Amino acid sequence: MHTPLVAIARKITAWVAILGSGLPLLDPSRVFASPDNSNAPYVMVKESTVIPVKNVSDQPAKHRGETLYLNSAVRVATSHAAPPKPSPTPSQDKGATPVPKTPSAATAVTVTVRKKSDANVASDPTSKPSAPKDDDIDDYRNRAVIADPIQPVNRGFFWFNHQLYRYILKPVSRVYDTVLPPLVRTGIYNVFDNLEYPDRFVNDLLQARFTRAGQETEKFVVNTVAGVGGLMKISDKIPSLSDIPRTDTGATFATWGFDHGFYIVWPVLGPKSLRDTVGFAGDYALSPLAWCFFLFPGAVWTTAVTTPDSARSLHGRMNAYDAATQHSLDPYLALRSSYIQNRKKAVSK
Amino acid sequence: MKCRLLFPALLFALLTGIAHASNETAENRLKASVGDVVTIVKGATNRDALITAVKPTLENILNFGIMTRRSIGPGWKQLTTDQQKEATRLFTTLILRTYTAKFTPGEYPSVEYKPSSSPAPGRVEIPTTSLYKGSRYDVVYRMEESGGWQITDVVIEGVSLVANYRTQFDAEFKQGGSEAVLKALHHAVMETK
Repeated sequence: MHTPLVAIARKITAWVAILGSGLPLLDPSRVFASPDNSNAPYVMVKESTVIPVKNVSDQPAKHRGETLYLNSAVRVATSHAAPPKPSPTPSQDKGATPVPKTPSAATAVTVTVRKKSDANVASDPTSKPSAPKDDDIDDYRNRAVIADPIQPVNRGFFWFNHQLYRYILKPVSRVYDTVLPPLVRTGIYNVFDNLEYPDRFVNDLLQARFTRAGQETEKFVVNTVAGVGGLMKISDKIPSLSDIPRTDTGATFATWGFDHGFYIVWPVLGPKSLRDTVGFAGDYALSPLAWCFFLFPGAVWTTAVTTPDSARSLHGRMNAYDAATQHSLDPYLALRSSYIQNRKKAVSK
Repeated sequence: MKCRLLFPALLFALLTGIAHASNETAENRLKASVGDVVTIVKGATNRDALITAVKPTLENILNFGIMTRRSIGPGWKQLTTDQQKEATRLFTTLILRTYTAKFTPGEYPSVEYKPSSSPAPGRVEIPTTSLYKGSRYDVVYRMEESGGWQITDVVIEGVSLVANYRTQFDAEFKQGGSEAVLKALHHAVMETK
C-alpha cells in the first residue's frame, strides 16, 4: 500500500515542478524556488531543465532579465558567447570568477554552470558546483522552503487578507478578548479542542501511530467525563496525556510521502500548501461541528454552536499572524517562511 | 590490549564530560537570563518601563552580530564595513522590538527546560516549553560560545527567527544588492517605531 502512494506522491511532485518551471511570467524569482522542495535553489539550464546550485549568493548575474546569485566557485557562460576573461574586482571574493554581461531578455540563452577549476573544459550542464566552504555565515542555506509559482496571485490575496484582518477580524478578535474573561476563553478553547478528537484519532490511525490514537482516546474520555464536557483540561495533569503531539490530515499525507506541492494564499483562510489544502478539507470532514451542518442543514442552532469555535480559532490565528508579520521586512515572505517552517515541525513530531 | 581500549574510553569520557559541562554552563546562563526577564516583567508597572528595564538583559544574552550576519547570509560579504555596522545596528533594533513586543507587564511565562543537545562543538540547543497566557509553546534556544555563551537563534514552534529573516534578506539581495538590504532594514525600523 505504501509503495503506490509514494509513486503517486512522486508523480504529483514532478507535475508541480513542471508547472513551477512553466510559469515564468508569473514569478520572476522562479529560478530560485525549489520545485521539489529539496531546499536547494535551482537555475535554468537549456531553457527547460533545472539543475541544483549548491550555494546562491556571491555573484549577481542576469538571465532573461532575472538576477541570479551564484556561488563564487561557479561561473556562468552563454552558449553563443565566449567565456569571459577573469578580471576580479576588489569587492569580489578570493577566487571568484566574473559574471558575463547580461544577455538580452529576447535572446534564447543557455546558461551553463561549471566549476571554476573546469574553466577550460567543455561545459557540462550536469556538472555540479564544488561544495560550499564550511562557513557559519551560510548556516541557514538548507532552511525549509516551498515553491511559489503563483506568487503575484498569492500576494494579491495576501493584501486582501491583510486588510480583512486589520479592519474586520482583528477588532472582532479584540472584542472577544476584552468581553470574555480569561477563564471563560480557556473553557471555550478546551471544549472545542476536545471536540476535534475524531480528526486527531483518525489521523493517528492513518499514520499507524496506534499508541498515540489510544492516548488521544484516553484524553478525550478523561476531559469529557472528569472535565465536564471538556470545559476543564484534566489531561494536562496526567504526564502521559499532557503533551501528545497534535496531528491533522496534511500531516498524514506527509507521512504517506506526499510533498507540499506549492504555496497558496487563500482568501480569508490564509496560507496553505497544495497538500495542506486537501488536508484541510479532510480535517473539515472529520470535524463534528461540520457534521452538524450536514445533518441539520439550515438549523439556526448550528450557527450558535459553531460561532464560539470560529471566535476562538480567529483569536489564535490573529496572534499567529501578528507574530509572523510584525517587525518584518516583507510580511508576505515572513508569513510564508513561518508557515512552511511550522508545518515542517508539525509533521516531524 | 587493555591499555589500547582504555585510552579511547578515557578520551570519550573526557570529551563527553567537556560537552556535558558546556551544556550545563549554557543552560545556567540561559536560566539566569530568563529568570532576570521574568523578575523585570513581574515588577513592571507599564510597558515603556518594562522595555527599558529588559533591554540590557537582552543585549547581554543575545548575540546580535552573529544573528545579523547569518540572517543576511553570504550577501554579508558584499557589504562594506560601514554597511555591516549599520545593518547590525538596525537589525538589533528590530530584534529588540520583536522580543519586547511579546511582553505584557505582570504576565510572564512559566518555562520548563528539557535536556539540551550539542549539535556541534561550541554549540548548544536548549529545548523548552513555555506556558504563556494559557497557551503552550515549544521554544528552542540555540546558543554558542563566543566569549561567553550567548543566544544566536530562537526557534518558536519550529519557526527560526534567523531563518525567517534570511528568507526576507535573500529576496532583498536578489532585487537590489546591499543597498536594497539596508533600505529594507531602514524601512522596517521606521515602520515599526
